[in-house]
Amino acid sequence: MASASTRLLLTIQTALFIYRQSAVDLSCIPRLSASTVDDGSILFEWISADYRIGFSIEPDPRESSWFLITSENLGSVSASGFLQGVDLNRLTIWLLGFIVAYS
Amino acid sequence: MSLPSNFIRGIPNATFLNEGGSVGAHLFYFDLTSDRDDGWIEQSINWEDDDSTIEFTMQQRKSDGELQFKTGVVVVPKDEIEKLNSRPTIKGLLSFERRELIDNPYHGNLLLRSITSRPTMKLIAAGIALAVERIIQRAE
Repeated sequence: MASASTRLLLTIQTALFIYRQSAVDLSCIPRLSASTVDDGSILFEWISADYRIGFSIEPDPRESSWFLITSENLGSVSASGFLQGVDLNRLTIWLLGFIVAYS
Repeated sequence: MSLPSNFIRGIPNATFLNEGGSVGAHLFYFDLTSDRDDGWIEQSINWEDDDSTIEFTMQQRKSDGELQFKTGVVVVPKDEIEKLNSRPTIKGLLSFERRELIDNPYHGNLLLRSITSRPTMKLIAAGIALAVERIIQRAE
C-alpha cells in the first residue's frame, strides 16, 4: 500500500508539473488531505464546498478506487471506478483539470 | 412518526477532521462486512428531534465510560440524502430509519444496500460528507 500511495502521489506531482508548464494557475487547488482508515485503506481527498475528489488505496490493490462527486451547483456529478487497469496519469490529469476549472 | 429535517453523526476522534476544518469522507464509510441479514448495512446516527439532541450526542459514552465522540458531531440535512439517493449512479442504494434504543431515543441508522461495491460505497460516503451542513467541535 505504501508503494501504491507513493505512486499515486508521484503521479499527482507529475500532473501538477504538466499544468504548471502550461502556465495554469494552480493556487486554487485545495490541499490534498490524507487519512489512514480503520478498514485498512488510505484515503486521499481534495475537498471544496462544491466537490470532493478522492482516491482510496486498499490493502487489496484490486479494490483501490477513485471518486468525484459534486454539489447541485456543479451539476450533481457522481463518478467512481477502480484504479486497476486505469491509466492513472490520464485520470489524474482529468481530475486536476476539473479542480482547476471549478475551484 | 415522521423524521426530522436533520441527523447527527458523531466524530470519534480528530483523525476524521482535515486541516481545512472539514470531515474526511471516511466518517461515513459503511462496514461492508456487517450485512444485517435484510440486505442492508447500517451506520448509526441520531435524529435531531429537538435542541437537546446535539448535546445528548456529545455526551454519549462507551461501555467503559469513555466519551464516544471525542471531537464533536456533524449535522446533515435528511433531504440531501434523498437527493443523493436519486442520482443515477446511486439510486436506491441508500435509505434511513429510526431505531430507538433503550438508552437513546434519538437513535437511527443510515442504510446502504449490502450489494454496493466498495468504490460506490466510498463515493456515497464522500457524497454524504459533501452534504454536511455544520461541524460542531468539542471545546478544548
